[in-house]
Amino acid sequence: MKRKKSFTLIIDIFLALLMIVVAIALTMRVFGFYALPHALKIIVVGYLSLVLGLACFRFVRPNLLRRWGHNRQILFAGIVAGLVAVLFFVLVDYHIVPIRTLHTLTIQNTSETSEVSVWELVLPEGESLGLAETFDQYQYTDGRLLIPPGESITYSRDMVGGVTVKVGAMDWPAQARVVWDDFSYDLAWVEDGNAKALNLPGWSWGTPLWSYRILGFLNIAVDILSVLGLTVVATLQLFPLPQNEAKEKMEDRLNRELLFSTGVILKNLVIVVIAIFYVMFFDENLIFLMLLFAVGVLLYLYDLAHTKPDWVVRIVIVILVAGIAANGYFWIKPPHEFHRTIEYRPDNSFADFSKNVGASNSKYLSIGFYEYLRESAVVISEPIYNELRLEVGMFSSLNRFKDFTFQDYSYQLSDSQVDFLLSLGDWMTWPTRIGDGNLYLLPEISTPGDTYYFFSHGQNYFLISLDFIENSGVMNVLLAD
Amino acid sequence: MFFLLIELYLLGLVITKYFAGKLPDFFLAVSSILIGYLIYFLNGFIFVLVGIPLRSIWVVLLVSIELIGVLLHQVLTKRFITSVTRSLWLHYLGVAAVYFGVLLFFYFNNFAFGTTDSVFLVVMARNLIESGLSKWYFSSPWAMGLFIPFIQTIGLLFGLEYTWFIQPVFMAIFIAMFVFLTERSVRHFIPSKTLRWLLVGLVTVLYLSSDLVFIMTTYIHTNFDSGLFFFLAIASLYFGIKEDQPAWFFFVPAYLIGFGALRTENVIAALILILIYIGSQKVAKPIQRRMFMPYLIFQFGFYLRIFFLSPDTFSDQLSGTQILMVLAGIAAVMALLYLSEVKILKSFVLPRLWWLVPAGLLVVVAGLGVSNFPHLFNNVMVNIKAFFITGNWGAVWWVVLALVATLSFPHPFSQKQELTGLIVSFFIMIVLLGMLRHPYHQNWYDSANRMLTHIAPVVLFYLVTQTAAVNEAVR
Repeated sequence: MKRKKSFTLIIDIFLALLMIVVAIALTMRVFGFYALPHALKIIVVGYLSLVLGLACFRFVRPNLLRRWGHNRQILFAGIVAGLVAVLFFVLVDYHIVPIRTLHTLTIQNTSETSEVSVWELVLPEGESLGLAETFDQYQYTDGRLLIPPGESITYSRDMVGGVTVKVGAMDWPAQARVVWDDFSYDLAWVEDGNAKALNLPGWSWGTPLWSYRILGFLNIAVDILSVLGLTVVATLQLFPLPQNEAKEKMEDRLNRELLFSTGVILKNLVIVVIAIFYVMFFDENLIFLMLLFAVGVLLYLYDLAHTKPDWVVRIVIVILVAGIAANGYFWIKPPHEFHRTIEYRPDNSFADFSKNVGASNSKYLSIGFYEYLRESAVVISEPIYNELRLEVGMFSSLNRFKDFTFQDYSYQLSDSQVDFLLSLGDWMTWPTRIGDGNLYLLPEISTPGDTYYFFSHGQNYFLISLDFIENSGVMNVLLAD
Repeated sequence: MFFLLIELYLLGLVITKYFAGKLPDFFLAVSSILIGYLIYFLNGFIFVLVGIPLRSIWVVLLVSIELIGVLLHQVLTKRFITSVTRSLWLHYLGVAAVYFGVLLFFYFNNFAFGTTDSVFLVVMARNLIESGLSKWYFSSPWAMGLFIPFIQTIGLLFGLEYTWFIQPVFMAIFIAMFVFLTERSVRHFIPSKTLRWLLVGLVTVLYLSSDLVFIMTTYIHTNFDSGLFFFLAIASLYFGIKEDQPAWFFFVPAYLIGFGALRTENVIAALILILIYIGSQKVAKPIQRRMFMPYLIFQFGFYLRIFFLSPDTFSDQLSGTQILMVLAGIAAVMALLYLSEVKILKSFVLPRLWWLVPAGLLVVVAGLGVSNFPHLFNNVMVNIKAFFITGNWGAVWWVVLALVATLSFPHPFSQKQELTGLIVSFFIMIVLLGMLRHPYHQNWYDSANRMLTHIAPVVLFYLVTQTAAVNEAVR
């Protein structure tokens, strides 16, 4: 009994680990492991492990458990798996998934007399490298980089994926050698110099950082282990089930529990298959994938809650904790710098508050003098308009201006004018958003709905009514009719 | 200013004291704060209605008169001492200590968060002080409610340039009330104290740890406070029916008045709530009328008054026609309160109102969608994205979705049907409102996204209660 329990445990651990390994391999091969944000890597691997693991435990485990005591079958399966794995990696053109690494491309003109030209170098992102900017010390014809005989160019960059290079010859015969990391390709032109396109693979090792080196080895390891493990399992399935073992003896509690979840396990397998097909043949749309996986998880939760209603509170607590953890993650890695914009404001003024709420300059200025600007007419010079960064439409709409006019007038005040104006009374001030200046308006000489002219003095701006300008005797300002 | 705030709290205290012994002490103590602010708002609204300028002296004077009046009434009716227990006094004192602690902390440490709307709300407050209801500049009651502008006047009347320290108080009240009331609702379903508090604590932390809700702690705006008042109105109604204790029903119109005064579209959600509960027939007719009519009368008067404004501001959204439609809707609901005894209504319509209301809203949405499908489609997609990705809700709605999937059980709990109808109607209402304005956009500050804070506490309350109900059914 104890040995049977040990066997069961070994099978369980083997299947669990195998499915995690297969999940990682799938994520790497199909779901763009390196392009996924870290949190999504965990989610995708976790979901796949769960789905594949449950499927395995439901459909494969009962069969494997019946192999207890049939060591020859297990040994044979192991040998077959080894052979298949060897054959697989020999026959199949196996490569790792491209990792982020320092790739080096060298194009060497090995001709004696002919010039070789580089027409285009397309990077993994699909964009063409600007040859003229990158290799500015070379000659160009029609945008093509010329490599004299015996010379070479080298391009090195940290990237994920391969490049496509188009190389031609200016005259022929010509030869060139393209070296991409540890691989070299010889090109020859005999009858014409037409460009030859070479797709250089992203899976070449290059010079990766140690972290990516580990991921590269992990890729190989999970691929090998997946092939081995799946082959062992598949081979064992081929053997007929032992007839003398009563089925009931091998049914354990886990098998009985999983029987009720057959439907939801199958549905989630279908979701995984749909996801694989979608990514491979249509699009790598992350949002669609996440929605698919979310549907799968919801199906599980529904099934679990309804087959085990006494677990509902525990399930809810786990869901809440997962939600809080996710919110915590967003605090550490916010999609927007959002909550950190609650800042201490030492200045309790309304102007300070208004300045920092993200309102446009037109709104901000309007807030300062809304009483006077409402249904007024405004005359402004272009330089002041540009300095204050206003927008006519918004400014007019906010204040329901009767009129808004650009005019060319002497808008700059002298020191003596400013001194005089400031001596007239208590000016309303509103800090500008540009520099340290203020906007000024004097209630004593202003009436709501007046016509206001903008004047400037350094970084300060004055709103002065037309009435005052015309009658004060001090504002010697030439205004247009 | 702090004298006024103390007075307002005391006024709230003496009013809530009428319900001592009938309602939980904690609820009464925390409600005192909100009742005080509501009275301040109502006083101010009456002032501007009759043309009395809003000045600090008049405001303080009126509150003092009201406080003395209520105290006198309690003394003369011998309720002042006899109705109150030591526990209640301790609760009042404890809540007061925390309330003024929060207030003072944020008064001396300004963490106010704002957007342009916040600034417009402050300007509205200034307009109220400068010219009552007659002159508006950037925003008016045709765009935003008046509750927050009146709250802003508290600081303005006493020499401050705006009021940055009261919004955190609303957040503190929400936390206290949400935890208290949610725990109360699951109490008899889950005997284990640890499990109850764990469940309630986790759901509260989930909600508050969302970026959007966190920012509401100091965000000068109307949405979170709408969610607070709406939740409290619903919870008061819920417990009044569940515990068969009519004392809860006093707070329903009080909180609905606050809710209705916060935002112009809140009246729709309030009417939906009232309709569904009229349909439930779980409250005796006379009590139902006494409960809902004060709010309906207030809301009718409010809309009638603003109908005669001609604000012409930048952000006006309502039109005269829309206001008339709202008035008609309020009048219709008032009429229904009296016509609910009519046989055909009572036997056929009312029992089905909990699904007829959302179905009716859906028909309206479909009708509007037929004439402008791209607008409808865009709004729905934007809303869905806001729930899960762009709205800065974090994992909240993902968790809600998971809980809905997990908890789709038939196990009933008190007023499950009514709450279901209300929640579904609210989401349909968001889509409906979107058909009446320019399209929603994907930013977190889009109004549809912010409106989710009105219903989120109710949704979480519902889900936690359902969890507890399932737990009890399988025990």
